Amino acid sequence: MKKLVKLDINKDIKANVLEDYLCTDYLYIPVYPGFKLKINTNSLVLKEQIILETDKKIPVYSPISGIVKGGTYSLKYNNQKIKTVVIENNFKEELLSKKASTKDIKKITKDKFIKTLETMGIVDTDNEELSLYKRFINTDNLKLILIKSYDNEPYIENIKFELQNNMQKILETIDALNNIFKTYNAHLLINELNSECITLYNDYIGSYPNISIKLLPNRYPLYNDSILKENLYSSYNDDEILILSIDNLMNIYNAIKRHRQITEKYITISGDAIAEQKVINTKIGTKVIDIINNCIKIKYQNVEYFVNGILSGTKIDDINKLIVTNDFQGIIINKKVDLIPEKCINCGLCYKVCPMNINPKNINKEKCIKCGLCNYICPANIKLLGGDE
Amino acid sequence: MHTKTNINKIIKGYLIALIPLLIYGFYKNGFIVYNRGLINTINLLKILLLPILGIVIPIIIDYFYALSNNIKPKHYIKNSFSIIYSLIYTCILPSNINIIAYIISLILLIYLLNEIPMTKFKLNTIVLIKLIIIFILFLLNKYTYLNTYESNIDYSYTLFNNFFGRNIGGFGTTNIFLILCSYIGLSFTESYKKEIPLIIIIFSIISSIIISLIFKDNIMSVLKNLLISNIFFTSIFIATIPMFSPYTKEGSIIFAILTGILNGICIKFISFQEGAYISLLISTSLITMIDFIILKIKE
Repeated sequence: MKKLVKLDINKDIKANVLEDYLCTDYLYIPVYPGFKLKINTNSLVLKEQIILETDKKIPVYSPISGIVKGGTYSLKYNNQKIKTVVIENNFKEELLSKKASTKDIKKITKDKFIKTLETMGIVDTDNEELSLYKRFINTDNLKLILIKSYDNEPYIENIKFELQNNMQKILETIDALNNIFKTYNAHLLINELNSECITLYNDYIGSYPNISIKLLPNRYPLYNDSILKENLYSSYNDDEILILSIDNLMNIYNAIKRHRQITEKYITISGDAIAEQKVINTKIGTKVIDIINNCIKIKYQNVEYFVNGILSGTKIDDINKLIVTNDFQGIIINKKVDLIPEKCINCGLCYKVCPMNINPKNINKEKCIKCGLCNYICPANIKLLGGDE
Repeated sequence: MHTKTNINKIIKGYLIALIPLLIYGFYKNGFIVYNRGLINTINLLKILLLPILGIVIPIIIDYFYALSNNIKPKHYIKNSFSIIYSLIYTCILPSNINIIAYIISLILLIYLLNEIPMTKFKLNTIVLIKLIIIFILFLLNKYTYLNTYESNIDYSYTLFNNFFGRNIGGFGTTNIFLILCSYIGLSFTESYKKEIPLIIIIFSIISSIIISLIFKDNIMSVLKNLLISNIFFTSIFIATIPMFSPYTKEGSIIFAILTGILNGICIKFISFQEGAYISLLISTSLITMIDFIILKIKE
């Protein structure tokens, strides 16, 4: 059993509002290694037109219609500099072609399912550089599907709104996966504190006898697949269990039902330096600074930006270049606090709290899952994780 | 995002735990003796001076240390364990200690603790300085824990006396009841290594019983004497000091078992009053090695 921690959370920081920000002037589409541009600069591109493609015909579709303006460098959530294609939005949302939805996605075969995800270039929302279809390759022994319906970090609150607004789609997709992979057993893991969603789903779950709701304790870092398996599903072997996030599930739904890639996603903007915490529905490729300038009021001059969480996330160097990607969850904007690190007092709390049982004073980078608990717990404010970066 | 525990809170926890012992120490060694007319006001104030100096001297040393190292003094003093080390040191000394000797040894202790090398080698500096002082007192034929009242009476302490502090010992180490209350209070703090005192005491009892069986001593009187052999204070306050205890949980357990076993041996064969300190000095010197082995095994 891996150690889990109940975090001290500021209960005043809570995102209760969902807003749309879909009217961005420019979108920045990442160009990963192996992808080549399929359209010329200054040419018109339609929504869902292929703009990038690999040699193996894995596509990236345009999320909007507009003019391709060229390229630039942008920042990903992990401070990684990436090349991006810039598209100027013409706000017409002109589609390349209308596609008919698949009526009953339960009837899709496993091979067709995997092929659809592959040919549509559906990415894994845990890591945009990986393809989602690879998760489904070695699934002959699959017995259980787990859907992680909780956010990875405190102060990131996308899942609550995803669950509320996409309930039918979520349940339909899980049901389809059960049939496709012949598991007939899926658990929807919901945080025990998310009472609204628990009540909502309890009313409808009866229609899906192969799906059950499991309440997850409000402990960190249960977002990590290996920790989740070891703590709650240790009786299953690795090849008997498939863990998917809600974001990945929505990607699957769009791909196999509507034959589309996802073009919008929910991101949380939170922190003690902003007046109102919000979840924003925005286009993938939007510059984060545009969202902040249009949707958020920052209370202080001196602030810090943490992307994808304040524990395992990254402190962003240049907010002006940061873009929303598939694996972007949210941004925490906090008042800058100068925590002066003290000498280590040898209390051993970092070692005690580490879920991987490694020595945080001498981190084994192969085993470290970068949960950030060592930094969180250290009474001397020493930056154990990320301190040598 | 950070937990609410910080160094300042840890220090405050220790302070709150030590204050009742210091108050009782002053009451037992000063107030009671003064009431019986055995010491005058000046000597009473001398007893009171010990804990006061135990607070003032580390603050002054830390202040100058911070200034000389370009650190903000207020911030440094707020996050320095010097006061805790100094008050623990005050508790373990005899109440009749010479004030000059006390001040000099305290300054040396705080100076050494501020210098990293001593703590890197994990030598329990508090116990070491204390044992050196005791040795010097022994050489000067002034080694006694008896206060003025105790040195004038024939005493025979009951279990009740021993448990509630009416026995012979250091300035703040005699009241087992208060020490145990402090342990319960400290156990609620996240950073306190609560398994260490429990295991030390259990293994001290076990090793003392085994030794008394081997040497055919009266087990009940051995156990009764264990109460006043400083194992409670050393295990609850000194063995759990983060800097002088293992970093890993498994290491803490091994360290505590070793200290407990050594307690039985040292108390029987070396010194009744100082045995617990000697065993702690030995086991603390091994904690770096213990942690190293545990971390290697875990890898």
